[in-house]
Amino acid sequence: MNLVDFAAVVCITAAFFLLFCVSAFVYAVDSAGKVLNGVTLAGSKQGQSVGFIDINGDDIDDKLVGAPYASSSSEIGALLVYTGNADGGFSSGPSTLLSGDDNYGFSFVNLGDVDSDGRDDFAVGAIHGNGPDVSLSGSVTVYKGGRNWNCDEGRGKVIAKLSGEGPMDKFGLSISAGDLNGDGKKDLIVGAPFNTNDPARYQGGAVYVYLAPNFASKIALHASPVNKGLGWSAATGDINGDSIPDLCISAGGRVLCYYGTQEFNPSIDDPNVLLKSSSAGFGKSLAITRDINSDGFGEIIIGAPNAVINGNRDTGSIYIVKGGTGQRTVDLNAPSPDLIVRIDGAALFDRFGASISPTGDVDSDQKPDFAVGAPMADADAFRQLVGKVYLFKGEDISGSATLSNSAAFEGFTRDQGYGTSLAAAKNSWLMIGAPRTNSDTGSVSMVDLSSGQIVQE
Amino acid sequence: MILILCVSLYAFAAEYDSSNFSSDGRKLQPAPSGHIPGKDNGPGKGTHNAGEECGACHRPDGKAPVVFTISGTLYEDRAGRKPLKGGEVLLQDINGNVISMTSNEVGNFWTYAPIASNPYAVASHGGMTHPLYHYDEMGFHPVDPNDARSWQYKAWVKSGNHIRPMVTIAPVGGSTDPSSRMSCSMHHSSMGSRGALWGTGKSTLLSYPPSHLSFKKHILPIFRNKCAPCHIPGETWTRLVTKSDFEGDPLTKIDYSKSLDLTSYDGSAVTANSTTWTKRGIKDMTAGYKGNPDSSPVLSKTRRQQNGNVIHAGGAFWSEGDKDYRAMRQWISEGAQNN
Repeated sequence: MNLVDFAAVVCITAAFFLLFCVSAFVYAVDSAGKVLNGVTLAGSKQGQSVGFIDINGDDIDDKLVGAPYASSSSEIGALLVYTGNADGGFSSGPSTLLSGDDNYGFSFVNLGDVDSDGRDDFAVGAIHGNGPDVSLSGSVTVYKGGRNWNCDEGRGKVIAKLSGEGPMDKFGLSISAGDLNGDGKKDLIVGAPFNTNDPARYQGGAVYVYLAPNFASKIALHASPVNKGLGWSAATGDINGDSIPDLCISAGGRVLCYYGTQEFNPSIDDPNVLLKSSSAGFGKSLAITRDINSDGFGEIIIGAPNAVINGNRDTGSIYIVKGGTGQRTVDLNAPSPDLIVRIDGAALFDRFGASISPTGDVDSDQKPDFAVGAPMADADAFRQLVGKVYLFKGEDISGSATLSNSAAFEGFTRDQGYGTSLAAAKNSWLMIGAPRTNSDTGSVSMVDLSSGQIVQE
Repeated sequence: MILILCVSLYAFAAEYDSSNFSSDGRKLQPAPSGHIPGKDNGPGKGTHNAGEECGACHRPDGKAPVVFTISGTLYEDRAGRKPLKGGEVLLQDINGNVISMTSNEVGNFWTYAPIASNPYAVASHGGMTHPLYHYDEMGFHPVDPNDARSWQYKAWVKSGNHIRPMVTIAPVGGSTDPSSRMSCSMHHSSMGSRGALWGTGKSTLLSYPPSHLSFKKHILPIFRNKCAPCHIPGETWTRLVTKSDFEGDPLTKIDYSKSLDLTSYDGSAVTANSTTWTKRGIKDMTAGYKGNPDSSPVLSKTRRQQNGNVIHAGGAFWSEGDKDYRAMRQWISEGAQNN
């Protein structure tokens, strides 16, 4: 190699790092476990988002914890990586810390393998991130997972960096993934609840569907005179039995569902399924599970964490609505054959239904199970606002199901917000985020749903 | 010492006007000084549920054992990127009595100090409402219009030498119904409809290029971060007026946006009650001042005047050396283009 060639290699290598290796660093934890090489985790809200992905290419899923208010001299937010072990556990402290735009780590989603390299890829939201043409709009960065991540220095390759349309849109506050056009790659759904597309609908919100594998083309769903309050939550899954995942989004007291098709191109005011309820907070969380009632269709689970029950505000509810085919409008303010059951929270200000996560089939009875968070619930007089998570088994869901048909997991100390975020691992473990722990420093814990045991705090 | 002197000069630059508690007039008053910051902080640690609506639990018969009379969470900026520790929230009643709260490490502030609302306030969405309630050590009772404590309050947010009047239209504290109390976080939190309750002069973006500024990339974020709580599109007339307004005309409404939509370059059309009108936009406040950007309405109104006064009802946002100010000034000098 002559000098010119050597210089070219150096330049190409440098360009590679500049283009693909965004700010992500290997960190060491100090003795107090609160500061990682200048990044302060006190007040960082660890556990605002949680998830799993094999980030180091060892074929073992690693644990990822969003800390969107972590602070350093120049950045706000981080994503902490806890390395997965062969025995199913994770490193006691974070081995890697990823950072980026402001409030990075507010949201996280595992995209599956979108670039066909055999490794799952993932996306991270930074609700006050920047785009190439607009600042402070919020951003979402899509990374290659697996071995591609290591890049020798803990840096990663970026598949795409996406951003909102206007400043303070909070683009990336919600992100989810599903193969909505049936091409075998999960598309990315991003919510921007403070987007204003029309002055007549100030902060009416927006939802964007970015199509895999390169996420260069998008479908934008903006607020309309009828459907506002978009971008707070979304979920994907097959509800009409055609094996192509469908999309459900929240719209201020409504839930709009659009069937996935090879020509997926929805219009905001033309959903296939419209669900309506006057329950406060209806749609703030959403999930789609496999078939619970054995009719061949997956079901929609809608959280209404601010629902008033027996005069008690913010008690919260969940609605489990049947999947099916064709156009439907379901008014849940009246008895409806489409409703399997509404399950109410336990007490004032529990906010039952603030988070929902399918957990797979924990008890191997061929029925899907799911977990529901109530992050403001009290455990006892000494553990107020600690938060609880309820595990519901599919076989127990019927028209008469109540909270008593679940197993409850509680936080440990008061004011944790336990259950703010949930993520199911492949092995029946459930990661539970508690971002308000210890004055908003935050924490996560791991529960083995099959045994009911806490396996890692 | 120089800093303290400067702050004092600012504080006394305009005289306190105890006769002017109209919706507009109360915004332009100097912040009180001479008190101990945080003297009215509520007891306890209070580091939980930052950004939440405190009054949801801390109300009579609420889930929490103690009742707050006013509470909320302070952030560095309207986007709510970081909570603000050590900020001060100030209230002053018509007799000059001062209530001071300081924010803790998660930005929370709260007090038990007796506070009551203007008894003649009118809720915009309900017309004349139930009598307002007053809370003190004796519990809840309808406000006494003859009790000065139940009259109006002026309010400010302060951080270091950065002082902003709170352009609050709603009466501070109290409620039309003791069972449903509000807190500042009801609308002003990182996820609130009006953005966070913010207190510092921190620049919107970390840095700006020295020239060739982009409206969308550099300038619009400043407007959204500092102007949008009030100068928004849509119908912004409200009847939530104060006693002073009410005594003049019981049907008084004010437009808190001043018919400005500073979320858009061109402004926007508003339609309400079968009437359509146009709100002026950013262009109207900036274009045409290429040769003298400091005299543009947007800059001249929102910086502190040489005599210490502030023209802008929402307070002074910056000094001429601030990054945001310099960026705006440069963009205006480059023609204030929608680029």
